[in-house]
Amino acid sequence: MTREEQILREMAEVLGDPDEARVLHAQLSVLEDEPAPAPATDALARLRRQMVVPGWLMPALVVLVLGSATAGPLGREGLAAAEHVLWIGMVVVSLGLSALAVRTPKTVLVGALAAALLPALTPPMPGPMDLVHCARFELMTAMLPLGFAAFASWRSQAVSGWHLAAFAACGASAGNAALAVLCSGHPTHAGLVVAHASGVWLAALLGAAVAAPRWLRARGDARADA
Amino acid sequence: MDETDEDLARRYVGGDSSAFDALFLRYQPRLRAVFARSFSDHQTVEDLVQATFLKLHRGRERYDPSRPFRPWLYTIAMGLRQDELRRRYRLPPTAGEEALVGAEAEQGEPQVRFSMEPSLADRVRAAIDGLPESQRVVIQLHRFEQLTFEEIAAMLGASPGSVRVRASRGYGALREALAGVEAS
Repeated sequence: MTREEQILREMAEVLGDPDEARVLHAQLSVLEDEPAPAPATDALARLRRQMVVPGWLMPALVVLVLGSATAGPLGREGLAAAEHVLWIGMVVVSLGLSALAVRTPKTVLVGALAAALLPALTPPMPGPMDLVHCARFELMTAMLPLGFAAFASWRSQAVSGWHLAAFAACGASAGNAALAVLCSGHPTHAGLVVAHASGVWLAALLGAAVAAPRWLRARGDARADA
Repeated sequence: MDETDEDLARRYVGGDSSAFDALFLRYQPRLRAVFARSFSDHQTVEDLVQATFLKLHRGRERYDPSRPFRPWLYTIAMGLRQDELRRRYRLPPTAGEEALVGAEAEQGEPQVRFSMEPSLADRVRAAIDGLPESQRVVIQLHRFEQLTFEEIAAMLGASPGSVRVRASRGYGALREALAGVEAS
């Protein structure tokens, strides 16, 4: 029995009538000869570019960004400079963002845009409120890469846990840089830097936590497929 | 004579990149047709085709040359289809095929369209497009990719019985929609 005959026999079984199966089989055959829609002309070239990127590159990139974002500030200021309230705030924000970015990218996108726009609309304030102004600069720069990741996810692009971690780490590093440039004279600068570096580590750990179960499951599936 | 899929896959795993190109050119149009039956937007279809070959490439060491190539490739493709559907239905990564069918049913059953288009191809296409995705994918794999119900069940991680039920409903709806239409 050829494969086509086998398919026809199975169609007849589920339809309960061999004659009707033959008619339907013939009707559907009109779509067989249709030319496939034209593929993207650079499909193979794009695939080749992606194939040369080894699987370890993204984790290595995250580690590199982490190292550069934490080694300097920690070495300069020391852990004792950390402000506990800010660190706890960073933990809460990082946890919330990681959870939101996976489940509701639109919300993260709106949040990122709002965080980017608000600091531009409010002037610096004297005294303790200046700290808030500095934190807003951090937030603005840190949120933009994560907002981009959320936008990509919203537009049906695959954004893995490792990608989220890398985006978050890049954002945190950018925030760090913004802080150093715009608020370098503030007395709590050291605490903010350490708090931010902690956020980088936390974002990466959360990214890894999101990625690890999928990676393990994909590995199990691939073994089962083989 | 064309090389078999398995010969190409063996050469590709052995490091011959031209064999990968041959497999890509051979299967890319078919995978696009399969994904296009499930997803209407062009970009998603292109992304899923790319992701399928990328996953194939990253798992090539695990390919067993003594086993057929096509089911392996289609199993990867169907896994990515499920990932995309889970994302759309906001289901956890552990949700299987039955959970996807359940989520689809909650969204409401589409209506099979009785098209009055003049060409048979348009009428057939409209009838298939009117089926739920869970039935379209089974009919695409069965009728057009010539895969048996057993093979489809293995690829989707579903039971052969549930695949037969989906095929029965899909073919039944198509039979009604195309009743009296002459096949050329």
